[in-house]
Amino acid sequence: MRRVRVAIVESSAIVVEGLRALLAQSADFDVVFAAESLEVLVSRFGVVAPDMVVVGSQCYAPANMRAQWVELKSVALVALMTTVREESYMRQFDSVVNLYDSPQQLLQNLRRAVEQNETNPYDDSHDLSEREQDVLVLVAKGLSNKEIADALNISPHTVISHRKNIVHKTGIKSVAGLTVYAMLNNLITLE
Amino acid sequence: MNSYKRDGNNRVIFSREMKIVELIDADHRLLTLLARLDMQLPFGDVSVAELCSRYGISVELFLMVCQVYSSAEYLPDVERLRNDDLKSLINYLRASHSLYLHEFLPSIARGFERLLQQCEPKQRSIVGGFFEGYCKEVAAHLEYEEKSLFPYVERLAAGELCDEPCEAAHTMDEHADICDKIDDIKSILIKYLPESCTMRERYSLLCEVFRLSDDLAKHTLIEVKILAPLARVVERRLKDAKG
Repeated sequence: MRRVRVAIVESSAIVVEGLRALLAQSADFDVVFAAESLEVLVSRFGVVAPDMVVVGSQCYAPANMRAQWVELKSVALVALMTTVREESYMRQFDSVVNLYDSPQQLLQNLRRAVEQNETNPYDDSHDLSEREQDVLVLVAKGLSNKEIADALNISPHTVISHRKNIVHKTGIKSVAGLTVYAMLNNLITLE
Repeated sequence: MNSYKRDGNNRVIFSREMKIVELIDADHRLLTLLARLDMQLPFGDVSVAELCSRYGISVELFLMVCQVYSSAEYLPDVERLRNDDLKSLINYLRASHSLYLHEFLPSIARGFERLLQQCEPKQRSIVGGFFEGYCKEVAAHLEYEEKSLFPYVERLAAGELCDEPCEAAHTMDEHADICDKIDDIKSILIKYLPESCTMRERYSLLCEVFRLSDDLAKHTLIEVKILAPLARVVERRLKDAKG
C-alpha cells in the first residue's frame, strides 16, 4: 500500500517534531510538510499533495475548512487536540488525535481518518456514486443491511455508511421513498 | 392592532385578556386551530377568555394549545389543567384528524393527479403509488389513535381508571415515520420530478404538502407535550383520590 502523505499545520515546533518522529517509525505514514498556518499549506498544495492534513486546534481555522479551501475537499482531516474546541468546528474532522495518545492510539486514530474519509467522501455533488447506487438498488429490493453486505462483499458498517450518504444526498429517508427515487432514475424497473 | 406583549425572545405572550383579533394577528396559523374548535367567525372584539367561555373550553387549555402550536420550544405545565380538559383536547385532536383525512390529504391527492397527468405513465404509477401508500399509512395511524388511544384517554377524562398502561408514548414512533415520509414527498417533488410537470402545479402542490407537514408536526407536539403528560397526571390524580 502507498504511504499516506501527511501535512501538519501546527504552531508548536515541539509538537510538530514529536509527531514527525512518531510517524517516522510507522510504515504507513510520511510527514511531507509542516506549516504554522493553513494558508501556507494551501498556497503550496499542488507541490505538497497531501492525503491527510493534521490541524492543531490552536491554529486559526474556520468551522468549515472544506468550504473555504476546495483543495481540502478530498483530503482526510485530523484534529490535533491541544485545546478544547467547539462542536461545530470538530464536526468537519474525520478523526481526532490527542496530545496524550499513546503511539499505538495515534496510528490507530490516523488510520481511522483514512477509512472514514474513504467511506464518507466530502462530495458536493448530489449524484450517487456507483457503489451507493448498488446499495440503493438492494435497499429498494427490501434487503437487510446484513444481506446487502453479503451480496456486495462489504462490511455491514460500510453498508450503513453508504446508506447515510444516500439519505444525505437524496433527502429521502424511507425505503418506499428511496424506491421511488431508484425507479425515477431508472436504477430499477417497475415489475 | 398589535398591542400584545412579547417575551425576551420576541415571542408573543398569549393571555386571557388578549383579543382574538390580536391572537390571529400574532400568529395567523392559529386560525385553523380556531376552526378546529368550531369557533365561528366573526369574532368582533371578544377576548380569549370570553370566546373560551362562549364555547365551553378552559382558557388554560386553549392558551396552552395555542402556545405549543405557535412556538416549538414552549414547555407547558400540564399540572395547571383540569381532568376534564382531556375531553376538550381529544375533541380538538379528533377534529385535526378529520381535517387531515377529509381536506388536506384529498386536496394533495388531487394536486398529485393534476401534476402526474403531465408525466409518463410509468412515473405516474410510481409517484402516485408512493403517495397512495402514504395516505393509507396516515389513515391507519389516525385510526389506531382513534380506536385505542383516544377512548382510553376519554375514560380517564370521565374518571375511570383502567388496568392497561397509557399507550400515548408508544404511538410517537409511528408519528415520526409519518413525518419522515412527508419529508420524502417534499424531496421528490422539489428535486426529482421530471420537468414535464408545470411549475405552477408543482409550486401549489408543494405549498400544500408543506402546510400538511407543518401541521402534522404541531399535532405531534400537542400530543407529546400536552396529551401524553396530561393523561399521566390525570391517571395519578385518580389513583391518589382512590387512595
